[in-house]
Amino acid sequence: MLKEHNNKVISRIAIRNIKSDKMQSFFSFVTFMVAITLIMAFILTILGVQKETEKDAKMQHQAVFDHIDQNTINIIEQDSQIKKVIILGTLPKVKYNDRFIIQTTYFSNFFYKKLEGKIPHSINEIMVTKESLKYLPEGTSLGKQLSLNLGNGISKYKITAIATLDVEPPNTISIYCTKELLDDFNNGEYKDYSVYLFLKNSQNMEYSQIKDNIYRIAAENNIPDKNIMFSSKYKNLSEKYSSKEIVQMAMVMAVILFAAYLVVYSIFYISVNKKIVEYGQLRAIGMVKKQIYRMVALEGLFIAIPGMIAGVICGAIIGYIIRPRGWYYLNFIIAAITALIFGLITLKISIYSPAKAASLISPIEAIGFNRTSTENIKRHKKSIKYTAFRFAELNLKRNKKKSILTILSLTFCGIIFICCASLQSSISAESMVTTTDFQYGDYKVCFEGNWDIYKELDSEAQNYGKGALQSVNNALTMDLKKKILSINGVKEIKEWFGTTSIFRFENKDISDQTTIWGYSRQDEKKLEIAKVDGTVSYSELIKNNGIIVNTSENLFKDVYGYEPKVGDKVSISFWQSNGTVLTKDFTVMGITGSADGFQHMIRMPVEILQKSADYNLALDWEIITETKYNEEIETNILELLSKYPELTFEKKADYVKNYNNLYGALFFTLYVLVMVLAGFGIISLINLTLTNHTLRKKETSILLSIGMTRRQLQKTRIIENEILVLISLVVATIIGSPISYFVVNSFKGTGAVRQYHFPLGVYLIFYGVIIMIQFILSLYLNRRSSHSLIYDLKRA
Amino acid sequence: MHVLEANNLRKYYGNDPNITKALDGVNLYIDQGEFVAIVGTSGSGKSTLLNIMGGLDIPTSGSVRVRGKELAKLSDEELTIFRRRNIGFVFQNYNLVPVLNIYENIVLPVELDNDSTDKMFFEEITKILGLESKLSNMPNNLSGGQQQRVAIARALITKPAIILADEPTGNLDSKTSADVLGLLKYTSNKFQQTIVMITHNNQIAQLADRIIRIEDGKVKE
Repeated sequence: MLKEHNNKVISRIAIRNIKSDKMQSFFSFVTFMVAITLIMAFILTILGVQKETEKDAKMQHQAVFDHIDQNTINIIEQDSQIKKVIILGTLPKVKYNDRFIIQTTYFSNFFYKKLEGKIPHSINEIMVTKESLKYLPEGTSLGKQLSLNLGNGISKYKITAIATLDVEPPNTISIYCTKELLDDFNNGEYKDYSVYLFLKNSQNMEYSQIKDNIYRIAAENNIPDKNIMFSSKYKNLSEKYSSKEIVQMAMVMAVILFAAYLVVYSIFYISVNKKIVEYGQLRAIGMVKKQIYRMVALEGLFIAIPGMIAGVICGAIIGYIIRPRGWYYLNFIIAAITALIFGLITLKISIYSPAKAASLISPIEAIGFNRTSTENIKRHKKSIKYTAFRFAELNLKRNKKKSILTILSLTFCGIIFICCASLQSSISAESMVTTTDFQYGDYKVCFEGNWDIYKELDSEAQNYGKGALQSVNNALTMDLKKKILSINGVKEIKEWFGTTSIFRFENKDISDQTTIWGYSRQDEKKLEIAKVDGTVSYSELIKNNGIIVNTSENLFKDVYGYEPKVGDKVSISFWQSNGTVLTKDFTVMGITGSADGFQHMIRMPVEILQKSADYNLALDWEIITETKYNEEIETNILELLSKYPELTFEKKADYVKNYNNLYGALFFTLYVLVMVLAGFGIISLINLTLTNHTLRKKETSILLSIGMTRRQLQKTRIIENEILVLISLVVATIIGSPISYFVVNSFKGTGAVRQYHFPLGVYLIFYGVIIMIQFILSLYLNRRSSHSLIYDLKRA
Repeated sequence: MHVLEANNLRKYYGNDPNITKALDGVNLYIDQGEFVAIVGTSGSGKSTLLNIMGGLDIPTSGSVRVRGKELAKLSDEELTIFRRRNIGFVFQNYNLVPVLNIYENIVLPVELDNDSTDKMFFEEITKILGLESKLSNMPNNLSGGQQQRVAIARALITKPAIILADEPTGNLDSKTSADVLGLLKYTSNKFQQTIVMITHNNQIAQLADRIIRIEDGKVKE
């Protein structure tokens, strides 16, 4: 029997080949390591998020009952389905130093990142947050007494604790007090608690079961539906990844693996090309095709396996750094196995063609193979002037496949680089804030209402919240507007109108209180972008008494269990200044589906809105200034607002800072991805340059010996390499730009992107770096090549 | 039975009227232990003849039998394995595997066959060829002459039916050439090894037992 397979000698030759070509081996190792690192980190992040979500879901309440007194709380706590309740009570917001808001809260169970001191226990003890300290008088610290007006006049409070929270609203002093203080502020008994419900065994319940339990408890305690708020966060946490999200994740992994495949294929293709004569020799002395194939495949495997193991370790470290809370040993195992499987598949695919090509080399071809073959070069009848450019062009043409592979590899990396860099430069905390909260200006003045006035309203008026307060006194007047506009540096004020109303969907048993916002003709274009159905035409809606409902992030469906449609009939009740309610009928004429500045639930043309209530409906003013963040303008505005306790002042810069804290990890991840893809492209190009240099030593020596100067040779080589880079630059730009535009725009619906930005600076740096590396490498290699001509001639 | 039989070998390139006849009806019979030199000028067809005899190339027509086995009837894999066991090659540019040391290069054909090396025979040929102290060296540390000796050892190690040497002294100086040729002659006599050597040099050809002249693709003995 023929014993033609000898793994030992094949493995030995494969290992020796790896050791002899250290540069190629290193590049392949790095490529696999980086690809697997990315995939590991990616999978661990996804699984980590899922794990964190599970942990968060366990800690998340399922629903909140509002406006509950202590007696009812005591009964609810005894319910057999209730695991625990957390009670929240708040005092009305109070202005502090004309600029800040004091929010005083009682929480039966505090959640904090870090705590110094002890939770307050007595009526005059409070806890403040670390962020709030900067708004309080200097020297405010743990154990100190602080004079504050929490709504009942100025009193002294002892700071018994300072808590660090994950996220805090800007310009807000968060105070945590005792239950006794709440009762004290409310004639001995606070009756307006919010009760957070945690059901037993919720993780094993369907969401519909959870809802049924909540409704049952509410019914048994005479709690109306309007006082029940289901936690959309819990619902989101309990949901698995949707098929759309899984497809998106798979696409990201596919992109990474394809980039790795291109680079590895290119490296091995060039390597096989380099060793054609050697493979022919081995075939001549008796190595069969299968042995040659196996040898090349083993070369790939012996490099890839350590690379992949290194990638698993690096990826695990990065995954842990990104999501330490989500770390779980099973996730690591799943991620490692998945990454290794994908890595091996990529290896198999990328090695297959080069290994097959190597095995098919016939000995006679290889023995007669001339590395400087001029096959397929057309013969020219006319004489041609051989400039450096002409030489470069000829060199590129004689091995088209190698040149095309390198261009493909660079171009692909370039395209993905443009997409990631575009996303990275189009998403920013500033973009997000500009999209959602500060569309026009850097400052906002908002009508919040006066608690003292609210307290005095009857219960029906209180149902209309800000609407009722606006009817009594709205400080956002023409007079104030003129005063603000007269401040030096203030250009314009964009007014937003709205009021709290009660809406009812006909025949759907959906009724709730919400702030209805108006929009102007100016806003129509933006709404058009956010529109998913119907029309947002200002004129059309006025003609037909239409409204626009926003369904972004499935909020409407989550809260009310219903997906609004064009044509739905809705009645909206507006508070009137004479104490009556005006109910009007509307038709849903448009549906928007993004958070693109219009995340509020219901909008209507401001003309219709203003006809629905007989008082000043101004709610927010965005102040547009000539320069960004001018301290003088701020001071002047604050001075003006000091007389109006119902108005608050907000700065865009504070929101940007908050978003940066929230999304820092995402921005960092995008940067890293962009850098890694750039690295893949550079590896591919360096490998080609070094290989070409090695393959053409003899040719180089011949050219130098017959009189080509080093400078001329350098020029030829540099031009040859830069042609490859420039072609890939052009192709990547032409193809990558529209793709990146599409990718960035697909994120618009999330509110994360306001406008597409082509990453010109980063892109030019990327290609600039590649061109420079090529240039320097070519210079260095060409300097080295001329020192011993005869040696190179003989040995090459 | 002849060790090698070549019957009416033809190798044509291209089509009428621009046909090139590299071999045009060559008949050749070589016996066990013969040292044959095939001489011809550049373009005479000697390399083509050698390649076809070694199974590296396929004739347009005609047949080659080595130890009674017709090469044309073998599949690519069978031919490669047959070549590994029955035909040794010594090339002009040595063609050693650069990543293997001298010992590994010599025993490579045996190892590819998953077989064990005849240690006594190995020691004998390395002694004859003066390679005992060079076994752990890498090829690029040896001179041209030394590398060619390694190539000869590699060709001998499987005790093939025939060794085909393609201008084995082409890249060597005269003294080294004489050494290498002397070794070829010696091993041929010592081991009754059949050797076919192609050369363009008549002087070198004189060392052979028989000289075959080839011109324009035809044998002129």
